[in-house]
Amino acid sequence: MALRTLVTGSDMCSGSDGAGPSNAVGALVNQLLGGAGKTQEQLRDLPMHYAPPPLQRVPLTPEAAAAAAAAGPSGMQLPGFAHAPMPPSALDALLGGPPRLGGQDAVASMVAEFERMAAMQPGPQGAIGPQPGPLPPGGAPAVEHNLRAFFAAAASRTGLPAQLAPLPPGALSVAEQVRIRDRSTILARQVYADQGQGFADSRVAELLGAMGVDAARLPAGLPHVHDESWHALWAAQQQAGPPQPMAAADLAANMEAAWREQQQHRARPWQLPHAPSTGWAEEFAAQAHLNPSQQQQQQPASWAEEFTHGEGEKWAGEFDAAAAAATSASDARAADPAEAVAASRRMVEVLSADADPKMRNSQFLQFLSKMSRGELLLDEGGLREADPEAAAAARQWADEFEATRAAGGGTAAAWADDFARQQQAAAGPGPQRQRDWADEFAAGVADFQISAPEDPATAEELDAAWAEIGSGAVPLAGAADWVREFGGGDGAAGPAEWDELFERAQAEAAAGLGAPLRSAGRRDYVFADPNPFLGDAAALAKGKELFKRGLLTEAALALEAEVRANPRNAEAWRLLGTVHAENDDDVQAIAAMGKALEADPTDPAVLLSLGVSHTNELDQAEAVGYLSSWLAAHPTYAPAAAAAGAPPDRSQVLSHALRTFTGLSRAHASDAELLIATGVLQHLARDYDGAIASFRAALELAPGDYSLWNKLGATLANHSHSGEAISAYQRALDLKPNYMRAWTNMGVAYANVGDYARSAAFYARALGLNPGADHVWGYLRTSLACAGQQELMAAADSKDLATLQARLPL
Amino acid sequence: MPPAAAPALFATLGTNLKSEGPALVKRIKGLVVFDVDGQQWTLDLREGEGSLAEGAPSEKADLTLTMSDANFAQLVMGKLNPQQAFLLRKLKINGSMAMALKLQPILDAAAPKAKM
Repeated sequence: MALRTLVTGSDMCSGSDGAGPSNAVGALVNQLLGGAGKTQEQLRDLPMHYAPPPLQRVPLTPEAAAAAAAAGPSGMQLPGFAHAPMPPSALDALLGGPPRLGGQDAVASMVAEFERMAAMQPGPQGAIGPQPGPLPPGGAPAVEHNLRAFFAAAASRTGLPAQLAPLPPGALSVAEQVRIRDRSTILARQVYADQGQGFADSRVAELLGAMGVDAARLPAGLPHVHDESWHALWAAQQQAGPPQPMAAADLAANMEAAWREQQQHRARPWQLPHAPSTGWAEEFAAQAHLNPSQQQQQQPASWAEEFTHGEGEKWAGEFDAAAAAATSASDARAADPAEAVAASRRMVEVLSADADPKMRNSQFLQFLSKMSRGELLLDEGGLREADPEAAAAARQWADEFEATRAAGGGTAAAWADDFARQQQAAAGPGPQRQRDWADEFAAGVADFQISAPEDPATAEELDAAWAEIGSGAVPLAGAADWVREFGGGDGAAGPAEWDELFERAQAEAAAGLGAPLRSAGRRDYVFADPNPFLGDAAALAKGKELFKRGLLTEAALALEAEVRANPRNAEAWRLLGTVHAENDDDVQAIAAMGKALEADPTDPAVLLSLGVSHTNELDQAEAVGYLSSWLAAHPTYAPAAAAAGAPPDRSQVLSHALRTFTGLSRAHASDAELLIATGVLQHLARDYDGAIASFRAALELAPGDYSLWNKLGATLANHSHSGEAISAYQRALDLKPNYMRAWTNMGVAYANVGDYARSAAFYARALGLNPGADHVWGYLRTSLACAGQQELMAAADSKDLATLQARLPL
Repeated sequence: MPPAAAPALFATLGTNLKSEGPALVKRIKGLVVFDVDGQQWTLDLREGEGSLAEGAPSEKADLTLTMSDANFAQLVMGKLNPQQAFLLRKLKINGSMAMALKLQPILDAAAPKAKM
């Protein structure tokens, strides 16, 4: 796998709205190597690039942000932590003003903010630190009581210590202790805002002491606790769907209740020397500026969890922050390759356990598993691929280690699970792959059978190669692969399935040869109502006259009246089919021609016209069938058609017919009809050069056939020669100005050469001839959208042709 | 407002599947959903010559493409290329990014074709 695709390609796992072009590998490499986030930088330079969301969710006031910035990484002063606290006066000086008086508004906003904080789901900070588990039974009421008592005492301003119930040691986990400490500190600092931070902190220390929390031993932030029970909890939450409110949220809610209670007892409005959210901001700052080396170590693991959580957008933001942290703390970088291998192995474990197959197959995961296997090494210069022998050795060593561990520990069950999962995974895609393979093989055989007789030189070469293989001169490496692929892993179901496939194909082929025409997709003729010509005895004559004058839609009505009176009138049906073809409605043309064929099964014009219409609709089997019938019904060519016989099998119907037709047209180069039929067949077979030559030859013989000019133009256009096609269509329109299909084709050709305004004008003209052509309305809107003429869209929606033709002059 | 240009273009795509379907299936091998101005088309390119149906898929799509009618028209006509559209956020991609990179042949097959 090219490393380049990994680094420049997409990570295939970013946010669900698909709009975040974050490159996970690039970010990972930046993170590990401390390099500049080059890809990210480039992406940021793009216009309208999606900006990663900021790290925090709670909006900070400018004052708070300034305070946090001024305090720097040590902005969080915690009880038991010896940071030099910045005196409030210094902070005020920095903010350039005397202490501000916070009125009721400030208090209200503080409450709102605290509520938001309490209700907040584990956000970016929560992702860095762990989610605290549920409180131990018996612990929660005691904690709640303590907090209530503590803050009630604070609100009453008696100065008397609250009656605190001691908690048994070990009742609270480290994470819970940290959370209680952080939240209490924030709250206490606001409650005792007028007495300074030192006082507040000392009160919190008392509270913590009473609850058996040793503040001095608590970490500044929450280290990553990465134990088994935690994983289980996470997985359970993943399955349970949206994250449930957790104990931490309950705790916070209780604290909030305490806060409200003492709000009610409060007699006078407070003076707030600091901006309301300073404490919160400080906590945030402390989390964001964790000890860099510590962050470095916990990063890969917490990544992995976020990955499984699937929160790509948030992830992108964190990536940026993490990359910045890694760059600034380059000396603390964990460059130890063993550590990188271990970290990536852990990530691979988490990622491959993910149920999403896209995740399992992602290049990112492959890259990581390569790293974990030691195939990619991390050194000072960057990434390099390990030489295969060393990698193999490393892998073997790792496997041995795993095996020993499995034998020693109780992880055998986990191993078995893993194995079962792998088995399942293998069973899933297995048959699919096999079927694809079989299809490909069948297609290959079919292609070979078609092409071999046409190219004698190639056939000879193949024969020679085959003989060589037969004599054993060439080792059949490919065949061995085949055999392995077919037999390997897919079990005994393989051959049986193959047999079934073969039998089904045989049955299909037998049925197919017996009935060359599928009836699927054919439609009965739909009559227009009301019809003013109904009951008109001279409808046929009027229809012919209207058709001659080029009034196609009216001609169709007159002819419909005729065939409703005389359903066996082959001529009327055939004319009707021609009118619909010229009106760019092949489905109706096919239906009308089908009726004509019922009345006269050997009419060559009808057969040829059906061949053309089915070619337009890309119904290959039908088109070949009608063109072959045309040949068989032709007095001159019937013997040749009979001599050519039936095609050897269904896959060769087209190539067989093509050989017969091209052979005949070479012998009868002066028959324009034959040349046209040959050209249509060549168009169907996508031999556009051959078709163009056939149509040009036919035009030498019949230069006045406007539909032939259109056929030439359409073939040129489908062969990416739209410029030449335009002049061919022009010839057709010179001969028959109301040839709606040619006007439409003009529009297609101009759109293909990028002249969308002119294309729209031609479509509008075509619609003037046949306003019932819904697909042309769609094409018109397409060209208007491409030409940027949104102002005409309303006219197109209301089918206001007068406005459209006036605004789109030719 | 329902999309104006897309229905005709999807009709063309549906017709063109008869000839180009097998090649597209071989290339894409997946279920692609187009959401144009809120109206959905499901292009099943998993086997055979593929199929196109109006409406949401009954199964999970491998790739969902969301865009406006005008942008879809421009993508089909080649006035806008898919990568550009994606970066300009005119095209939203949900699902397999690898599949989204093979979008061009599908769009080409939806372009109006000249008829004989």
